[in-house]
Amino acid sequence: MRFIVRTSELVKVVQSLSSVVPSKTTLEILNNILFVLEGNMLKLTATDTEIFQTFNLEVDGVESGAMTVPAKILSSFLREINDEVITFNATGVRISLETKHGKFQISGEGAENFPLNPEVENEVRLEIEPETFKKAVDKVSFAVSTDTLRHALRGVFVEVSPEGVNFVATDGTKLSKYLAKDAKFAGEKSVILPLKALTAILRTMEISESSEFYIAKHHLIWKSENSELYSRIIEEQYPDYKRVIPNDNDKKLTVNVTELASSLRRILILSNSETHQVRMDLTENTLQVITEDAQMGSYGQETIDCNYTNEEMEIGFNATLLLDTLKRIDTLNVTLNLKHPTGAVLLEPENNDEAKDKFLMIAMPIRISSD
Amino acid sequence: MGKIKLLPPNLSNKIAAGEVVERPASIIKELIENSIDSGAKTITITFEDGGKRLIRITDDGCGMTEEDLMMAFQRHATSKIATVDDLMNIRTMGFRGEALASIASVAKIEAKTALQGSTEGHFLRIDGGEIQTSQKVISVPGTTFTIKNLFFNIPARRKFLRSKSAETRHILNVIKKFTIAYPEVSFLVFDESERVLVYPIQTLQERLEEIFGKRTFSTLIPVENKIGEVQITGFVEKPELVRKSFGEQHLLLNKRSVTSRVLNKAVFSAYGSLISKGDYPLFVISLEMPATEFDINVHPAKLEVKFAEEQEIFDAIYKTIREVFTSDMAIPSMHETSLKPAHRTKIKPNQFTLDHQKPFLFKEAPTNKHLESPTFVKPQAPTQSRLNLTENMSDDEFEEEVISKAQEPETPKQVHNSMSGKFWQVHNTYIFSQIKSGLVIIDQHVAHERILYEKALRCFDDFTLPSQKLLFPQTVQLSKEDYLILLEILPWLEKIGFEIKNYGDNSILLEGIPADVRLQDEASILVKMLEFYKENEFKESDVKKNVAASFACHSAIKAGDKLTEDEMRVLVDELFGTEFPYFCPHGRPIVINLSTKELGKKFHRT
Repeated sequence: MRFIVRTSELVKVVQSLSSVVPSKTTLEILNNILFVLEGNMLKLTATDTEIFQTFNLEVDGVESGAMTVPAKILSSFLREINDEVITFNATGVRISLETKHGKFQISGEGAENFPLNPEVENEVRLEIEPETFKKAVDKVSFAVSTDTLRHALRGVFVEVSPEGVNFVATDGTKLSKYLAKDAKFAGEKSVILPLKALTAILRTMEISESSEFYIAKHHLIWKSENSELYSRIIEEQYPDYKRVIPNDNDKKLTVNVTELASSLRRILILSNSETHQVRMDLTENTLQVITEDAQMGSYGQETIDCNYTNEEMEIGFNATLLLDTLKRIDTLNVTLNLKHPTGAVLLEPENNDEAKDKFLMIAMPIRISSD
Repeated sequence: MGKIKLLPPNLSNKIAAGEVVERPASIIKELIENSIDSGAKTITITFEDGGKRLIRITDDGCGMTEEDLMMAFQRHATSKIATVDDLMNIRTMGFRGEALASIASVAKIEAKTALQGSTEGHFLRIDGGEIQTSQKVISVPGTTFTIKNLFFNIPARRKFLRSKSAETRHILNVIKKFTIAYPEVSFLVFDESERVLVYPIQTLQERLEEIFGKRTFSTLIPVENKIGEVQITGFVEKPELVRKSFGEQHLLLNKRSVTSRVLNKAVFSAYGSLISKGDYPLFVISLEMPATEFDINVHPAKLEVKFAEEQEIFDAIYKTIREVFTSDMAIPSMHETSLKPAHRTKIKPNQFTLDHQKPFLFKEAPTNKHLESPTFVKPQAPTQSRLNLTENMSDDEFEEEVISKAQEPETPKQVHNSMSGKFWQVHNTYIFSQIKSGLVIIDQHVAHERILYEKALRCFDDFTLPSQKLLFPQTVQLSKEDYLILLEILPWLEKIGFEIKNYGDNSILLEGIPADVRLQDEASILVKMLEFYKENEFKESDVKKNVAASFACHSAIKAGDKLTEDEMRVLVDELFGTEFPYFCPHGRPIVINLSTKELGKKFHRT
């Protein structure tokens, strides 16, 4: 295999693929990227066996062939080279790289043991604007669970509804749901997409045009003009999240997002370092954020103007959790829909009903410690 | 007309029933006895609502003919004795011939039976002593008794039955006695439709291992002796490992579970001063002797036994057990106790003094007693050299270590203050930090365990810890026993920050978890905590401490959990804020100190 390519083009592709290469693996060959040259078309593939990502790159082909190249070395090496023309030449397991200034040699491995792309069945297109997809994943991925024991929660739940397509994520204490109203999907009603695949897609979308999404029996498929990604979907039962979305939370608290967030960040420092427990005291149009850690002897209290006209209420939160949700609100104000101090709290951006898409989050409170 | 009349039979049966049928457990006892007498190899026991609603016992024994079946419900009808001589030579379990009649008079009873080798059997239904149905049926060989609505016709007795959970515990207790006595019989037990116990046909050893658990079984020593016509076999707990196993003293006489003050006294005397007052060693002692040598017919429920030659029996048992204790097997071995995880074994005071001879050596995990001993670990006492937690050093090295430390004692506070403030995590398990005199290594799991343990204990007396509400409350299905335990310790769990709703039917709804616990499979934490609690129930008599330790052990971060530097800092700060930062609640060391001197030595710098 022999070809000539500009490093500025190759480096983007190799770096993008490196994020698919597993950090720890018992299968040595997965540390490598597969290079397959046919004529002038170089096809590069990386996989962790769950996700397969492929790029097509146009090069000056000299001699067709196939080879796998260690991803880490290649990526580090290319990063240190200014935009130049580089010649790849692979014979046996030896790969020679030649630039204007020097000659380098690394060892690769034959292509024959590299896993093959998965076979997919019954792929159905998920019709969604790439920008909308990106936004939906951005808004919900923070809520995806990291609990290795609960596979279903380790992905984003994508579900067709009469209003559009829902993107949902939860870890059991917070939930985020983004409804893409214009999106359409005619296949199976719902599917769980692993976070790692979604992150890889979002990253590649930065360097790739015209995204299309497909969902097959066991796979999510993403295709762009120069790249394809196949990921296994999580075949588990997603919890019945609709049941836990409160619909009768009639106490509305509306408050400026930046003010509340910056107040919480200050208060967080003084809160208990493990529970991050803060209390919000609601009285008419006034919100007090209070924390106290008796053990460390710290205390903090701030008063914020807000819009609240219901009966007085005290409710506890993990400040980190609340801040995580506030970060996803783009509007000036946020509305917290409350019911009682231990019930689920619904967070919505301003004018949620008129917005192009509908976004909401749920934060579970903390039962505050009592004496 | 005379006022004194002969009682009609159904009334006299009801009165007699008071003696035999005290509660559901006593019915089960009578019926299992019958099954065993019939030569059953497999006995299946099902009960509902603590046996109040339903009891069903199915065996694969010899079965009965129609005639036998009808007779069985007559008072003093029994296949087991015919003459007074027979009465003096009882080898079977049931013999008084009153059990079935008594049961039939106070409950709705159905019986189905077929002889071995036959598929044609007989079915009988009796309500409150009256035969309702009697017909031929197709049946598998063996006998099934179904008892429904106990005391339905005696509301006053029904009222005195205890709660479902209490009756269930009684039943399981009765069954346990049989499972110990009859390892050669397979037992299957169902509570409602839930499988509670499944024991295949086993040897005594296998059966006991299953009943008490491998760990407990390994603390037992076999006992065997034959004195005259008395054959003694069984297992007794090693004196140095004795715990408070109240209710686990099992005496079997010709395979029948009995109580006898004489036998009990003999066993306890054999332990003598090897155990302290208030300790209840676990033992299973089985006696085989001619039936003419004792009288078991003291009470209709057949529990108390009287011996013809009390003193001889006493001596036989005393000698047999005493011999085992004085033989090599039971010499308290430092090695053994130190190899076992310390939290499983409570070491007796006499051994405790052994540990004291080398108070600074922590090759053996310190026991709980060390932990609670204020003079031993008090952080304010700077003269105590508490830092020599060095492991895997020879004794020589150790002595030197002790001396060098004695010259520059450091309290936990001093250690904490001299930490560099930088932390490294190794293998996602140990935290390293530099201190003035060298290096400290902290085991992250046990460190967190200590923090949670003390926090839980504090909150029990004082406040309630915050609870993170769960978006998806989890239904947890528990075994009967676990469920009953959970109800017992529920108030303490709530204090720690669990929010639990009782759903009945052995299931609970978990709605909130302690706010400082890492999110993970919450339900499994709870289940593991219960297991832990159970295992330690007899060793740790203080419910609060046991709950706190269970919580700490299973909610703490694990070896292998990656921590950020901030998380490590918080952990270390909190650890040194605890009362005993150097030992986890089970007595395992938390902190190991490696002095620069020691390091220098290893590198041959001096």
